[in-house]
Amino acid sequence: MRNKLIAQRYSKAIILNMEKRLLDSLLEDTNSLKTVFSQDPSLIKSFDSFLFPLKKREDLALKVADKLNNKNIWKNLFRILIKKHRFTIIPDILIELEENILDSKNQIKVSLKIAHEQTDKILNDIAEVIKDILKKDVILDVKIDSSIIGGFIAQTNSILIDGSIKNSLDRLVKIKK
Amino acid sequence: MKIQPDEISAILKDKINDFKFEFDIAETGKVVQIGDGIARIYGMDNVMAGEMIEFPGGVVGMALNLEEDNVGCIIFGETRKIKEGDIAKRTKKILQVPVGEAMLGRVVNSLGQPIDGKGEIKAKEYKPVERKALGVIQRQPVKEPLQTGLKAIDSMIPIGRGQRELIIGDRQTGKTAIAIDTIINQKDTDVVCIYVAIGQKKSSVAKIVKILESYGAMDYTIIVMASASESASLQYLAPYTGCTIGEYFRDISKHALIIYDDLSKHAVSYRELSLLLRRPPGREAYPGDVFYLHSRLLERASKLNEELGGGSLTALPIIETQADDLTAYIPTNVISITDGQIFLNSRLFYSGVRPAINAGLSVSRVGGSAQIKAMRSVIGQLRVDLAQYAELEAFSKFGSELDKATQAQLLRGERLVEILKQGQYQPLPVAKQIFIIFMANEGFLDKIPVGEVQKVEEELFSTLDSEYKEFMGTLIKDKITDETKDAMRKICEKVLTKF
Repeated sequence: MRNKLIAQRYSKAIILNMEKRLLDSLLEDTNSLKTVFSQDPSLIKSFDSFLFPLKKREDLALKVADKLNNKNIWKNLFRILIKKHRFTIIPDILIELEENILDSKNQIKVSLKIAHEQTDKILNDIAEVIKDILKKDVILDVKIDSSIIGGFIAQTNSILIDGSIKNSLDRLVKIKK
Repeated sequence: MKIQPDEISAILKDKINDFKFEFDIAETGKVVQIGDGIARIYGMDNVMAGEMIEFPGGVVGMALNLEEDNVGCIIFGETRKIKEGDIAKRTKKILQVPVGEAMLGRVVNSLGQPIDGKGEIKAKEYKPVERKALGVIQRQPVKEPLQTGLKAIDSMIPIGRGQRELIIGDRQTGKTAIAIDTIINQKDTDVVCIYVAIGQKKSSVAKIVKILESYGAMDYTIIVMASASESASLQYLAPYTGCTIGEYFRDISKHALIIYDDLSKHAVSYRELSLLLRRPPGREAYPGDVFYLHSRLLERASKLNEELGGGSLTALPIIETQADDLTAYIPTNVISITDGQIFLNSRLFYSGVRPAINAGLSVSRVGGSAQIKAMRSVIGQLRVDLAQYAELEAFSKFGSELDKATQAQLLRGERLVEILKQGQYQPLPVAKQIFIIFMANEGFLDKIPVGEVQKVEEELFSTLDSEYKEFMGTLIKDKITDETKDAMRKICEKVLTKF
């Protein structure tokens, strides 16, 4: 988890050096890399492994960067991470980058827990409620969790909106005590 | 009466229509590091310094360090219940503790929760632990005495209500004993006592509770305990909790006495927290704000002005020195904050002078104006006489021949030391203190052998109890007149006829 603090600094540095018009393409790159690394986590280990010569690891990383929109940024980042033996924090950097880019576009990713599957209309209604609270456009990441009984729990990095039946019941128990 | 189904359904419909979907919105952060009673939280951009943070499992903490990318937080509870990645919630409240009459007679921890097994405390009010000390306008000078029941203190180093008087000395010199005696002496007065035990053994605190119970002193006493086995964060918090409880009584026009036993351990616990929070260490590895740590606490002791009810909070902080060194960092800090100090000397203690108060180094800067007139008119040069005796005593040991005046001074000094001796848990009413000091100052004891002085004192008190109860009642009311002095002399002579 401490990597998060370091990742945040890398992410800040990248965003500060990017032109605003390129943020969309950077987001696209970030999402592609996230997919690649989540599909094959061993790839990250290989980039960080001393079993392979530094030069070979760098060359491989540069080849990956070549396929992305913002080649230079990624090339520099990969080079630094490999040299500093810090490639393992790349997933955290990608998460931070995504958040920062969305933030600059006044958007926010929200992890939404609901008890049962809901129709798109209800999900849109929930998104509207959350938008009113956070004052940002919401991108929902829906998860089903029957333990909340009903209602929803929306979680961003720094805000928790708990409108679940479970929470209401817990509150009732507290008041009764 | 008939029940109309329509009416019931209408009420239900109304209720359903009025139903508001409520949800909790909390600012959260993620625990990125946990251990040693400290948590680092990522997120929580808007958290306030000193704000209460809620962790899973009902554990609470307090935000102390607001850094660029994380929040340093001290935990008041079991850190085992918290793990990396857990969500911590902001409460938007500064840490609060219960206060009120319901706390009397109870032993609580630093969070105000009962730990004496006597059940829940039904407190009606909660107050923040960290409060700004009152300003100049809300205060008035110390003017009422707070009797400790100890002859040496009430006569030479008088304490006033609202004063801050430091009790300082090495280990095992009777610092806590003075505090306990003072609490016991508040029986049948309007003073509420708060004893804050910081970093002490649980067995020691249990012993104190037992003593206070046996003297009926727990009825007006509250004990706040953060024992040695508790985390540094709880030890850091304890004096502030005690102070908040005491301030409640002060603010409702009552009088309270708070004892911090002891602030050396408090400083050590704060040093531990600060180092764990990676604050830069200064002298003796204490952080830079260790002076403010104690000054903001002791400044909260005060005497309110009459418009605010005239309540008071008197503080008796205790500091433990190492090898009688008053010039160490924490002792000098606290000496400069308080309105005087009672210095206990281990050499005096082991030579049988108990309480082992060093009259030369002890001082009360504001208590003099609070001392009762009767006492002031009998003590005369008591402090100076004792200080001179202490110096002459050293010379007399050379065995050289001494002139008559010096011999007389030594003779008087020996007797003064003897009458100021007092057993533990035996606080004395002021009238009796006045009488015995008068007796010694007037030279009635000069012809009595030193070994007999205690017996004369006992005889005097029993005579006063049996024959002069009324006279003793009037003695403390005003300044002692010449007629009263004559009457006192006669009583002294009467007592001495038996020896």
